[in-house]
Formats: sequence, C-alpha cells, structure tokens
Amino acid sequence: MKKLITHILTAFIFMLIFPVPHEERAPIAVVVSGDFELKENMLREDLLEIYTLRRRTWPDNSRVKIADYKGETEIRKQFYGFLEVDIGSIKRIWLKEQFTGRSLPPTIVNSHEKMIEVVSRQAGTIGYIPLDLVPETLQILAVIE
Amino acid sequence: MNVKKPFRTVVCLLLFVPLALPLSAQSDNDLYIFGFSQTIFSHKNIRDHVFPNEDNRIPFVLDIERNTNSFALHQVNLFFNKPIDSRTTFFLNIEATGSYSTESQSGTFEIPEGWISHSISDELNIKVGLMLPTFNNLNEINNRLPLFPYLVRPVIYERLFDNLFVKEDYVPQQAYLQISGFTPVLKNYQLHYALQVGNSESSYHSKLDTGRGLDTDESSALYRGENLTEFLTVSGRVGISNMLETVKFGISGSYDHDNKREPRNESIARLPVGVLLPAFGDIPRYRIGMDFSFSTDKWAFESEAIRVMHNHRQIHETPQFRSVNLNKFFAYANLTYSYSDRLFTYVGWDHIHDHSYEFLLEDSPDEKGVNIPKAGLGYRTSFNAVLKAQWTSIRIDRNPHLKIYTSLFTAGISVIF
Repeated sequence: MKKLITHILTAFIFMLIFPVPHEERAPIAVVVSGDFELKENMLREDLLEIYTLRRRTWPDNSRVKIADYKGETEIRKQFYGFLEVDIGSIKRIWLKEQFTGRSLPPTIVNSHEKMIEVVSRQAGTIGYIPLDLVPETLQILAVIE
Repeated sequence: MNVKKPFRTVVCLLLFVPLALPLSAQSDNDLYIFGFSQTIFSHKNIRDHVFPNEDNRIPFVLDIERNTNSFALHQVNLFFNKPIDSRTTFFLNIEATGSYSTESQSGTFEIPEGWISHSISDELNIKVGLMLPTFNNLNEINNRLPLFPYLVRPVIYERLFDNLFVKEDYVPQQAYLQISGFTPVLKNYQLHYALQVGNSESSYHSKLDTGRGLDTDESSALYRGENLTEFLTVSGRVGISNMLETVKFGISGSYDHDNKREPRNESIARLPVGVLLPAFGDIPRYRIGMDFSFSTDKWAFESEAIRVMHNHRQIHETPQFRSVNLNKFFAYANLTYSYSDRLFTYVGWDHIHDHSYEFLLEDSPDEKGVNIPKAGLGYRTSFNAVLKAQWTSIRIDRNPHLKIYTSLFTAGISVIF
C-alpha cells in the first residue's frame, strides 16, 4: 500500500514539474471568394451576424452563402468557440430561417479540400479553413488564433 | 374539395424533385427542396358524464367512456425555395395532414404558403403572395413541427383539435401582402416589425363554384374561395430579440370582422343542445397578443397570450342581447429542460376561454375556461430525427351540467429531410 501511495505521489509531482504540453490550435482563416471589397479582419460581431443569417448580402449586393463542416470537428469547435455560441443553437437558427423561407440552408462539407473547392467555386460563399491552407485566390476576412 | 388537383400537383412536384438535385451546393440558380414529416401514435381516453338538466335539454344521465388507439402520418411538409436573385426569393410550402388520402377521404391537403419576397434593405422587406401572418411567437411557424419540443401544439394551433376550437377566431390565418424588417437597437439586440394585410376570415369566402349560389353573395362569386365581402384582415407584430434569439419579446395586433351572419353553436361543450348563438351580423374584431421567450444552456421558456375583443355596440342595442359577450382569451406557456444535447423534457399549460355562449346557459361549462396541462420528453437520435412522447389532458368539470375528462397520450417521430 505504501508503495502504491509513493508511486502516485511521484507521478503527481512529475506531472507538476513536467506538465503535458497543451496542444496548440492552428490559426483559422475565415475566407470568401468574390470581387467585392471588404474591410479586413472582420470582428466577431460581423461574423456572428453572418452566421446567424442576420446579414444576407455582401457590399456588392450578392447573396451571402455559408459553407460549414459536418459533425463536431476540432476546427468547427474552435470557430464557434470564437463566436461564443454552441453549434446546436446555430443549427436551430438555421433550421428556423430555412423553414420560414428567409434563408437558404448552408453547404455542408466534410474536408478542408472540399471547403476550399466550395468557397472558390461559388462567389459570395464564406467558409473557414486552417490558415496555412488558404489559396491565393481567396480573400481572408479574419484570422482566429 | 377537388381531390384530383392536389394529387396532380404532388405528382408533378415529385417528378421535378430529381431535376432540382443535388441540393448540397448553393448557387443562385438552384431550387432547394426540403421538408419534414411527423408520424404519431395516440391513445385517447374520453370520459363524459352528463347530468340531467332541463335548461340544457338533457332529460337523463349520460355516462360514456371511449378509448381509441390510432396511428397517423400527422403532418408532411415539402418546402421549395428558389432564389430569383440576391435579394429576391420565391417560397412554396405544401402540406398534408392526418394521413392524407383521397381514397379513404382522410386528412387535408393544403398550400398554406406561396410567396415572393424582395429585400430592399434589412429595414424593408416586401412579401407578396399567400403567407402565414406574423402574429405573436407561434403563428408564422405553427406548422413547422420540428422546431418545437412538443408533439401536440398549443390548442389553437393544433390540427388535431380543429373540431374543438376555431383557429381563426384567435389568430389571423392568411395574409397576401407584408412589409417587414429589422434594425439594430442596443448592443446585439434588434427591433423587428411586420405588418400584413389579407382576406377576411374564411367563413366569408365562397364555398361554391362560380355563380352557382342561391343567395346574392354566392351568386356573385367568380371563383371558389373568393372573399365575398369588402372586409380585409390587417395584422402585425413589433418585437425585440437578441441575435441568437435567446431573448424575444413582442406585441401583436389585428383588426378584422367576425362572421356572425349564421346562427351556430361552437361552444366547447356544445351546450345547450340544439340552441344556437343568434345571427348578429358582421362584428368588428380586434386581437391583441403578447409573446415572451428566453433560453439558457439548459432551459427554454416560451409563452404567449391573445385577447380577442369585439365591438358589441350594435348587438347591445337589442335589449335581450345586452349581456352578449363574444370576447375570447388564450394563453400558453412551455418550459423545456435539456439534460444533454439529445435528451430533453418539458411541461406546458394552455388556457382557453370563450365567453360567447355564457349568456345562453347559466353556469355554462365555458364559463371557467379550459385548462390544458401537458408534459413530455424527447430524444434526438440525430439533429434530423427526434423521438417524442407527450401526455395532454383536457378537463371540463367545474359546472353543474357535465364533466368531460380527455387524456391524450401521444408518441411519435419528427424527421427533417
């Protein structure tokens, strides 16, 4: 029994001295395609307006379209953590707006490659990907560290 | 109802569905098709006890107990959303309820919405076409069942109770022209408004084919469903909510006419037997509504109240009708608690009170109003499918004429597609 307590205490002290390094999250870029001019580094409030479907058009009058990931991926948690909303609340807002005809359903993708493809192909589509994957053709609206 | 036409419509729409696929990508040229269905099983127990009473023309005691079990495809809705350009959208909603079948003549088939909307700015959006009026919290979304925790909606919105309560006595049912919008106020809050106009209540509409009526109104009809009066319904709502709609408050109002041209008895207990409310004519009617809802991580509360008021001046001019009061009141509240993302439970309460028939019978069963408690739970197997169960009770017993106890146990599944 003494031995067991000694082992536990040693392990505890070891963990205090050498803590497990916290996995650093890669920065995320919020991206869009299109020729319109936007102010760089959109604020959290701007993104929240877009993702709660309150802002429906870009400055050039084109329609705001949203692309998002499927499931509860790390990047998705990080993005909605930055917006300070849970994914369930956002999905409920989308469903209500979709069912009342006020907005279109978002495009759902299951990989970064597909996200880049969807955002690049359709002007006015907003999405988010790891910063190091952003192609030159896309505008960066905000960087989330 | 001509049952062949809706059938043809459905066949045409189903033929076009594959053409609109794939739906997973957004482009301005796409047609978006989505919808939901809700299937239910319900066990109903009704116990009636009617006391002999000369006033209500029942000479002997009646004791009746009935039990029923029934499955139903409660409701199926298909939505079509077609973006015309970046600011203009066409929307169509097709709805079938109660296991709709032309062969067995069950259920209903309806197009409750078909409109085009154009957004000039956030502050001004114009909508033209058939739509559900924005009035209080529920009216505009009352047929979107997956948005609710409960299976059976508050009584005035629930199709299962169409034979008990006349929905349009409490809330406006249709509009054809709407302006709406929102503007930021305070931090993260928005002020919303909607103002709409539509036909008078449906009892004023032509029920016959062109020009086949015997009375002057029906013989002037150009088509079935035509509003045969000059009356229109004006309604609207002003409200405030935050961006995530975790706090929402609004005040609504409407003005139209209540059709009392025909004698009828639509009291909840249908008492006194064989006695009808006299024909009073066209009575100006005002509705005032209030809605309030809020939610936190675990709790969600929603509520609304509607007071229906009539201008009785013309009725009260006749001495024997001085005590007539056609006013009504409805309120509901619902509290939901989420144990997790998947499991939730709720309790709710509806109250409905129609004063119209009280003057016909002393201590009328309608006099105390009707309280409808309910409770239930739900489990989300995924975001798109929810299993739900609900117990609802309707009790009318605080009067000397009759007692009615109705218990409704309902279980079902809502699926979004």
